[in-house]
Amino acid sequence: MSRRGAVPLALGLAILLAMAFLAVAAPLLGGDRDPGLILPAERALGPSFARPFGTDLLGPDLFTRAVFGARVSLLVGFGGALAATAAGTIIGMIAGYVRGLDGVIMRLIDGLMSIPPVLLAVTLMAVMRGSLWNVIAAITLAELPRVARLARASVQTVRGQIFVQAAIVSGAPTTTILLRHILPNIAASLFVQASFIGASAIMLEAVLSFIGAGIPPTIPSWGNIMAEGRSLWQVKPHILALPALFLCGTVLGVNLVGDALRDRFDPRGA
Amino acid sequence: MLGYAIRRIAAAVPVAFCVALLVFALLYLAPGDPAAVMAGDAASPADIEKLRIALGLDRPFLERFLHWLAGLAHGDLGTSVFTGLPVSMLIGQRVLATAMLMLTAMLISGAIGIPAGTLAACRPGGIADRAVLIGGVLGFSVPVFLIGYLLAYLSASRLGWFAVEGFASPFVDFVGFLRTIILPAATLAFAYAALIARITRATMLEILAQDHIRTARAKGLDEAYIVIVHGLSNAATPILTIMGMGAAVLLGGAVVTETVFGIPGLGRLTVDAVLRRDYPVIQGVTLFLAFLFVAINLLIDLLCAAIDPRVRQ
Repeated sequence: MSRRGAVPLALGLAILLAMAFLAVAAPLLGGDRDPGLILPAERALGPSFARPFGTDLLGPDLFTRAVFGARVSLLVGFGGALAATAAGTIIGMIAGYVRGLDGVIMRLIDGLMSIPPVLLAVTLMAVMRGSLWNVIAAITLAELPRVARLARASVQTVRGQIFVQAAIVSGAPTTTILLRHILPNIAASLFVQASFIGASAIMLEAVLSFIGAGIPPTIPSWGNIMAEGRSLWQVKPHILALPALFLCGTVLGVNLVGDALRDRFDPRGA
Repeated sequence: MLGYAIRRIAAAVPVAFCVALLVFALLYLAPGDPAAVMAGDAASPADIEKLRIALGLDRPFLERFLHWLAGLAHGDLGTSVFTGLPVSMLIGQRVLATAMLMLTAMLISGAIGIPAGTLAACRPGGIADRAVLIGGVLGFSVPVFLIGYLLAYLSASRLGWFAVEGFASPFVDFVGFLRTIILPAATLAFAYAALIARITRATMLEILAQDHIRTARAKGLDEAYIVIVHGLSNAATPILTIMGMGAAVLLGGAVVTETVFGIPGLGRLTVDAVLRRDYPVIQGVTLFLAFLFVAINLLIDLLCAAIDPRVRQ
């Protein structure tokens, strides 16, 4: 890798490690304060020495909430990326390998792709009760078409190569061909795609919470903290500041790592 | 060209059908009973049952889907549970604001993204190139609503030139339209401009390395002429195609932007319907916006075929 690509990669990894540390160590860093604690006397305070980032509308310390929010937001990002990539890869591999199913599956995927992800996730959340797992499920469904298309195209490229033909001729079962011979050869570009999905999953969670169709407000996620600060953003912009900083930093970190991975493993994918 | 147009339009029909099927099925299959959600927590089981029959929710899937499709064919998208008005009428009232918002955002993004990406490609590693790379990453890392609040905070509350709330029709009050549309359109344009700058840069880098550019340079043509006439006109097709696919960013972003700036458009209609669990409106608007997306991409593909004969094959 060139030196030019190393700096953004290191920066991205550093940001992500720092966020992962915050998420894991949340109960220690959050001090003695419970993220759900309601202290009416201390509501919407500006930054002070004791509370460097101030308090939110109900009184809890914003730093505590933002640190606990890292757990939720990282879980959404990681869970969404994992689930969407896994589901999209399976669908895309079937479509790319089994010619008879290709047409039907891809028309459905095209249809799903025609609904903008934000809109699809919002629509799904309208029907499902707001919970962490439902948010991840909605994000998964909104993001999986892109993975499916990529997986299908990659499978179709690899399928024609001689080692795959050899495996078919030698009578290897289809699952073996798909998992042992094809999957390792398409994994790099899927991995790159997964990192970008992680970034957009974190954003999508924030957008859902902002609209009021996301995780229940009692669970602190960055989106939820910002949604709370929304009504007062003109007088108390500090409520938005810290979760916004954490969120943008994390998404930036994931994007930087994703770009670096793409340049390294999948230069044609740019 | 005609043959291509017919083939392309024919290919869009099954996609449109699948969109309709999916929008219907998602609300059908999703866990949770729409009637129970709509009736609220205080409703008795008998009330819920009554609502379910009134909405036709007790019928089998295929019957409901065909009934809904038949309505669609007549332009009937159902009736809003909350307001009692036809969904098609609600969409008609709101479509202008969203269309104007998206068009303005497209204009701003194109005006920034295409020159920025071109300049970046002319001097790889130069200042413009770095700015586009950094801006490209930033554009995808900041959520739309934050950009909206930031822009509103910086310009409206300090300068007071632009309104942070509302919408005026350009056909009634053009100055008011400009005052209200600039901030939301700039908000929406942020990620889209980053996308356009990125694809313009990547495409131009490839084109400027080709032989015909070298020939043009060898002939001693003016560099600006080479970049614009020989380079950019060849980049039009990929840029337009990405702009079409990126319209998903605009449509999704409009939902958020209209909420931030209080614009009475389709996005705001969706959010209100979601918060009120007004299922026919959610279904209708989602379908309408998805069809709009399919139509935008169809038009762009036809446009590409019209300007670039290579696409027609």
